[in-house]
Amino acid sequence: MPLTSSQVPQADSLQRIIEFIERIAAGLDPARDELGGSSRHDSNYMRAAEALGLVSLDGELLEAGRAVLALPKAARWARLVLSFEASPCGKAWCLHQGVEDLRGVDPSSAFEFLSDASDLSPSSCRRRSQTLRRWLIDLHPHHPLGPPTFTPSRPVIQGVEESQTDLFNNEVSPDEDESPTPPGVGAKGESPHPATEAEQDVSRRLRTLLRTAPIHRLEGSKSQRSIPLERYDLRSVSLRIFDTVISYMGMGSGLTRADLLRELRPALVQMDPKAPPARHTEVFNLVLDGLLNERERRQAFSEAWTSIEEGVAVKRLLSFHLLREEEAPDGDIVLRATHEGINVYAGMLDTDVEDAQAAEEAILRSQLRRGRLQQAQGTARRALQRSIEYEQKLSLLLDTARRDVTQVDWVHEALKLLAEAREHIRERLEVERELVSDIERRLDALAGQPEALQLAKLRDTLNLCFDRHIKLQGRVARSNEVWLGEQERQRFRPKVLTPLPDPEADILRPALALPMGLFCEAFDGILRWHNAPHPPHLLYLPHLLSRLLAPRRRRHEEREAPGEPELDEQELGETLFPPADREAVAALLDEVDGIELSSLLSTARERGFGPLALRLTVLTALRAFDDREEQTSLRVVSAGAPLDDPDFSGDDLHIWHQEGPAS
Amino acid sequence: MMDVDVAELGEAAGKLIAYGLDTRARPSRIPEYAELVSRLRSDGAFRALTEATLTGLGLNLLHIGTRGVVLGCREDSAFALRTSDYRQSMSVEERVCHGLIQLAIAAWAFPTAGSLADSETATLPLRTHQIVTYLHKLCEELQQEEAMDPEAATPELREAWRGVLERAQTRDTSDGRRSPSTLVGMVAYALETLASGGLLRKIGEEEGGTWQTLTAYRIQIRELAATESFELIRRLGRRARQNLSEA
Repeated sequence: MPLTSSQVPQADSLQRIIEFIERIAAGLDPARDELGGSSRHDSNYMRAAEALGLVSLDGELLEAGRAVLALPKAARWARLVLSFEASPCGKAWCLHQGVEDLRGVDPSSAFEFLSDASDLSPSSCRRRSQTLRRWLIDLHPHHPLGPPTFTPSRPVIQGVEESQTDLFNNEVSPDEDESPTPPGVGAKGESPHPATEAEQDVSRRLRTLLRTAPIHRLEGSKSQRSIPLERYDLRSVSLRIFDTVISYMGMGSGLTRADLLRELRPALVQMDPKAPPARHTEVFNLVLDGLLNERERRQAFSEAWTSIEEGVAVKRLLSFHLLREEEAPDGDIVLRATHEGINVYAGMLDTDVEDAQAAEEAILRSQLRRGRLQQAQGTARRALQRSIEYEQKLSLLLDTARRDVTQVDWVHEALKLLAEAREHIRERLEVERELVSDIERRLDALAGQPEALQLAKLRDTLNLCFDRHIKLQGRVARSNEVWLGEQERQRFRPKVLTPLPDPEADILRPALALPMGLFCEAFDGILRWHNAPHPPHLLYLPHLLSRLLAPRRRRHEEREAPGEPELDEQELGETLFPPADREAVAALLDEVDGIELSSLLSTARERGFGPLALRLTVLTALRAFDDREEQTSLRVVSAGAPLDDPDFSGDDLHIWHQEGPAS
Repeated sequence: MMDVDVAELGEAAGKLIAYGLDTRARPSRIPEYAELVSRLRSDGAFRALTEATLTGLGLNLLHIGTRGVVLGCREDSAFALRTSDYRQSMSVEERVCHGLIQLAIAAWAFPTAGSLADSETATLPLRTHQIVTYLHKLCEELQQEEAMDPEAATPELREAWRGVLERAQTRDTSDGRRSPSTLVGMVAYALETLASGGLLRKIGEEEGGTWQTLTAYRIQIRELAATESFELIRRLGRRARQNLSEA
């Protein structure tokens, strides 16, 4: 079916469209313009916003429009890309060019496309193809899936963007192209010994089974507890703990013990409605402490098991944690599930992350169909969590590179991670693109119904995901640059002539691989060498006597004398202020006398002082304000009025030379 | 040599060593210390006597500079930080973790020989949580390479990295302090001990406590800890391989 006139936009500026829907959202009449256009233009922008699915036919803001406005400015354009891609016109254009998304569409094909696919007159086609071409050129750099992939039929203006997008992409692209299977699946496949493979399978499944042991132990030892627990199912409580903890991981700072209790209390109350409230807390603590292995001071659980190796039974020990407590940056202690814990709960013990993700997507789709939106929310949150994980992995890698580039295997490790992250973003965005438009369609249909609230929440979460993916993409795009920069910077570190060992590669790593028994022998030496000499405290009898015989000190006398401050040369680079600035400031201060800081600053500006020099001027004056400071001839007192200055705030100061007369 | 007043020389050497042991003394603030340091550089007899006395005390002169003298302990020195002074009655696993943490702090601050020799660039600040994450990550890498669980009967033969992974990262006590038996508690303790020896300085409380390395720490690691631990770890590594091939 050919495109109709209303489906093909005719408003060149996408920025204006955003401003247009902003006015609608603010309740202003978009037609009464500060947009500087005539009414014909306004109707063009209205139609364009409508074609993008941002506003309804009668000019009401739709969910997609709200979603665009809810995003930070940087991500709005990326969101517009998706809106255009999902619009009839965008879809038809991709179809016409035989590509999957707009990245593959050449902007210069607009006229040809409109002539073929619409029922517009040739002159309209020409006019509107200008709009489409402009849009695509503007949108291409913001495509969430990456840089354009089309081969231009003639030189394109966007050439710069293309050439600098990714230095390393070429090296990894063969993988991406040829292996549609997720990384890791093909790598560990067949084993050369089928006989041992069966044995390995048993071992692996056994080890998996063992990891559920702490949960069964809790339930099994229920009758031995001093509190009546018949009505509580401790296994169910355990799994609920996992469920809640995992769904909160990476959302904000995480879940504290108190938060978790709050979340679980309703379920506990339902298990035993007649029990006193304190009992529920007791049960909760019992289960959580059990999962943290509080009994053994949170060391790893250890389960012995037996493997058959070459016909001999060997007893082995499996150590694992299910939950951990970690300190969040704000000092809260939050709960996290370990990989083992997540797998035990998720029941996907033998799948890798990529597969798990595919499963998540399927779950989300089915939940949407059945209206089980609550769970969909959780699934979306877990997808978000994985994006955050990628981001953290990447930032850890870059942190390491910042310390020492030689430690990062860029070609194998980092590029693989970057490729995985790129793939993750691509997959997520593809899924979310479908979901979001589906949800938004339903949201528009459901307006006002109770289910819509849940749906809107899910949409918000997905919007958050989208923002996060764009951020991750930014990080992925910048990492090569950071790495190259560090490489350049660190190359100029002096080469060592003396044969010093590398503390990480030559000492720490081999030490980690030593058996514990042997490493213990090294402990005394390591402690001694790494620490400064500690003079032993000798007993001096007169001091001891006088101290023992001294009357009991009262509290306020115990205040310690402020010891000497620990001053030491710090290993810092060059000073903040260049010598030229210092001279200029000194010269200025020599010249003036009896002046207010505000007028001193304006004189300084007239002489073309930079921000650093201005700051130095203020600091010099402040330094002289301290009357213990004797190295300067300046005298400074407060002028008793606020400082009138665009860059600095505080009291105005009166400055004069010590010898000179105070005016 | 005849004019040399042995008693005066001995007293001066003693004073210099006392200043060297006082982590807070700096030549820039104590004129007498500054004088002794420059005397150590110019007066051969004084230097010989000081070094002989240090040898007798089980100490090494690691560095003479503007921040004074930096001393390090040899085996059996009375000034060495003893295991029992550091932590009483530690289990094998705790010793392993505490020892690895010392190595990890040094490796985080100075990952390569180059960064150890380069006294121009500032080191990154040391953050408790970052060091825990760093050590944990190294151990996880080793865990991924290792397919098999260790045998149950022989805890001493389990690799050191398992000791780290088996430990809880953090755990708050009833009064809101950190438990000293967790990794976070252990790293914070190690950093505090280093700071009390004048090697680091605390600059903030964020991320479990943040410390800045001082020049003395670089000297301590470069002149003493790195080479000595390297030799020892290599020796132990050889023994471990021997044990393995015998078994």
